[in-house]
Amino acid sequence: MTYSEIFEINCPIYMAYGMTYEEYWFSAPGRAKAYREAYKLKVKAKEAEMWRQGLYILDALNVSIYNNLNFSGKHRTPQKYIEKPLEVVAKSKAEQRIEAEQERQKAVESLKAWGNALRRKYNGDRDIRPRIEN
Amino acid sequence: MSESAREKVKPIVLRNTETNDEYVLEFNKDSVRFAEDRGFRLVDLDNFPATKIPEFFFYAFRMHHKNVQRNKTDKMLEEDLGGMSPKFLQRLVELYNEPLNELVVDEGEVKNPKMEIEL
Repeated sequence: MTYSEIFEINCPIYMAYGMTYEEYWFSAPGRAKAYREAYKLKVKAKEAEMWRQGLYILDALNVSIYNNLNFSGKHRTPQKYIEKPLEVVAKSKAEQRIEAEQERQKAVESLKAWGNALRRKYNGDRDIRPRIEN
Repeated sequence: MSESAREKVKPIVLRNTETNDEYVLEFNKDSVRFAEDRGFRLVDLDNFPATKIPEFFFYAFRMHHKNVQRNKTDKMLEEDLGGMSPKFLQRLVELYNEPLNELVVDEGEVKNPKMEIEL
């Protein structure tokens, strides 16, 4: 088999990868490989997307079945479909820092509320924080 | 050698010191097809070097300098370059193989190979 025959056979394959006819035949060697690698990444991303879609469908079915088919007859709290999309792209460090700070603030607020509730329950409105006596 | 580790072969640049003309010698798929359509086969370089080397040299111009005539490249090879050195020829062969090599998919090294290669 000559080189030209191999090129002819591969031409439609590389055009399916997204290369134009002109690029395939007239560009300097190296570009075809880049297209092939890019295609691999595209396929990988597509597979990941389909897998995620499967998860969404699975969750929707689970929620729907749980909420609509209650064979026991007992009252159950309805389940909710996942509230936000699954995160695919990794968060940047800045985003991670902001999120951690928000979580910390939330924890502080909740501890404060808990402390206030305790104070009201056991001591009226008196401050029960420990005091250092001089 | 794995696919990612294989380095691209650099094109050959010919520069005429008197006229400052510059020629880049390289092959793409079209110029390889052009050569093969005219009956050129790489194996013929060994069998008929006197006729096939000048022909091969001419095809190397096709990609970047389509309008350069055969008689001009023959003259360049004969008079300006004084023939083709083995190193030059080897690089041209590597460049000729590049369009094919980029289509070869290396699936990675075989795990636990039964034979080692020493070059």
